Amino acid sequence: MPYRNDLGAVMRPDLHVFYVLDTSGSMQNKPIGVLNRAMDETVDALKQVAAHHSDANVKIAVLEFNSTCRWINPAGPEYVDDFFWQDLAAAGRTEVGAALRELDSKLSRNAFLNSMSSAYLPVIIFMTDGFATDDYEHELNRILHNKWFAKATRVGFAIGRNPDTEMIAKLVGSSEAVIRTDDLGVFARLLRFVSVSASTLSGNSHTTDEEVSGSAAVKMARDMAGVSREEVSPSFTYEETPFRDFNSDSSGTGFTWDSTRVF
Amino acid sequence: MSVGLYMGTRLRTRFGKELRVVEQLGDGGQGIVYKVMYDGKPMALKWYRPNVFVDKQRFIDNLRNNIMHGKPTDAFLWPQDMTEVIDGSFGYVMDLRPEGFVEAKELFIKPGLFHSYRRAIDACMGIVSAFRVLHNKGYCYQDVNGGNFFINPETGKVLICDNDNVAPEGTDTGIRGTPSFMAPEIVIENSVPSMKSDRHSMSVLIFLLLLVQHPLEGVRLTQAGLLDGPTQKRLYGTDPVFIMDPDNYTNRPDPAYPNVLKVWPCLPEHMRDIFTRAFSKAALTNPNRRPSELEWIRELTRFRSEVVSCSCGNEVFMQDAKPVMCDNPNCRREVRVALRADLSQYSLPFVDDTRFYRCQTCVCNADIALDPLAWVIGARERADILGITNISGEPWGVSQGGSQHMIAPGKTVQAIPDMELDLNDERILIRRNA
Repeated sequence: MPYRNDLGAVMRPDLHVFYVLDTSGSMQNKPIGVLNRAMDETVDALKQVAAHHSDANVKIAVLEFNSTCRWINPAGPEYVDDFFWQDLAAAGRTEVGAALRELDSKLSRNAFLNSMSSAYLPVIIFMTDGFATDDYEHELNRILHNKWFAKATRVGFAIGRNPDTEMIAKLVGSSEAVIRTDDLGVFARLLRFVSVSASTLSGNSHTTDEEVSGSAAVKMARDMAGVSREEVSPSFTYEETPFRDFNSDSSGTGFTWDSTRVF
Repeated sequence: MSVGLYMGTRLRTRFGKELRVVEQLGDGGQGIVYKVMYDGKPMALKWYRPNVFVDKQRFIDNLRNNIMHGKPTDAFLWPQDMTEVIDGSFGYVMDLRPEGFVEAKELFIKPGLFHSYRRAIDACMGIVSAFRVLHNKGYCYQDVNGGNFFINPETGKVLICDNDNVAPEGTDTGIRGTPSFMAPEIVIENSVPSMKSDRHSMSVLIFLLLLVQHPLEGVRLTQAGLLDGPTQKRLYGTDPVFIMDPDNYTNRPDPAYPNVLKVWPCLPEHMRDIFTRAFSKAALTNPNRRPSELEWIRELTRFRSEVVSCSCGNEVFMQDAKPVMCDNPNCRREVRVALRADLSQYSLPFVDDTRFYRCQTCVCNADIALDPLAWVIGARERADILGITNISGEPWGVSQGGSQHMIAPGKTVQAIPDMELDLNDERILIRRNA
């Protein structure tokens, strides 16, 4: 008999949690400081999720964007237990489109999602305090044809005085999946709670055709943090038309295929 | 701080008691678990978040019923009292998880917490026997997963928690559970949870504890890529395939996760048989074809007795007490035992800590299957001198070399070859091993 000690851990699917964070010039001083501390605590909370509430191997990847964009872990998502936050600095423009292009290129089995086992739908958390300085809509239309992005649990933070809340709603697919706040303390708390709720919901298996939505994760995070819907929801409503034709190319030929077909 | 109860909060309960919140122990999706002082004793309180129920009244009614009926056995951390409803939230009181117990899923990640297979088998027996009692009382558990079972890896003892979902057979509580543990007919939403679907979940749990791999998660899972809802529905519901299916090779274990490939070939045949039966196409599609609790108990008690330690410390499985090669690459000795016990249907190695249960010696029903009869113990002075203790509660007749005498309950007699134990109508014959 093999020793019990020589047996490895059971196979667990990966759960990738992506952070796409605005570190442009407007984030300088207090906001970037709050973001850094909030991410510190968020990583710690995710370690707890990985240990107790998830049937998955939780991995983290962070993409910061300003005039350019940069992966904090260029080699790909890291196991949350091996991941330690390193502080970011703020400067430059808000090139959201470039960040989406970069994200699209890595959300693939041939890039960041090339693990040994299969993976749950990823969690993608966006944060910005401003307006895009490039043509993000073009890139958004492209990345929406990436099934990993389209089906991901997406949540967005619009923080500060004057963020483009509508843009964030479009990135995450629904105004209900957006947290709009000018209060950095509320932002820090909800960043932690939404990371926990989104990865708990996504990192546990389920079999419904309805995927875990960013709005469900936001609702659960609000409940956990004791924050009301009115305090942090955008004043408008937006709902993405769901993409069902993941088999189509991005040229928009108008054809659709049944994505729920059983192979 | 999450929304919940402040430390020091006092709440009234249904039985007119008062409880005081002491500290937070855990925070899950459905609710928060606190340590509380209840009626002068430290207890646990599970406090639900508001709005987690589709049908709150039905849930409360069921919980109240469970409290009124009381716990089936001590293996259940059973709801004992419930609180008043405050702002739509409420909770129930249960015993605290004792020291030394871990969630089953920790044992899936760190299998070495079990120092021996015997302890892992003990845990499986504890689970099956708890399910047997639960099912006999007309309940089904519904929500088996790696977080709902607490196991003490040192002793193999089991505690089953989250009994708020337990409901009479046939009730639809709206709980569907964790897909990888759910019976296929529940995954595809053809029926509501039942004892028969519990049996599937139980088999999955046993397989995971012993072989540290999910029985349906082979290359089909690792090659699935994106594990979305429809994919999981196929893996666990519409088209599940056992990773060791003797005929269907389409879902073999992924070599990157070799636990099953290591343990399976070492298992005694009767264990491979019952697993093959439990996850056969027939049992996956027809709930009536799943092995019963009694069948599991019979195979597990036999299996437990077949685990023998080599002098190098490695454990080997010994079928019918026959010599077996130690598979520790640094040892490779032949492991033999001096004595064996002949039962009516099979023989067992007779070594320290061998246990005999009623289901091993005679045809019996599930109620008495796990009644302990006898326990082998090494002498204090010399470990190779073995005694056998009467733990049956009734006197035994012992015959050896023509003489006969009685062994009172609790007494131990030195075991020697050709001794015959007469336990009512059941016989255990101790033989020198050839």
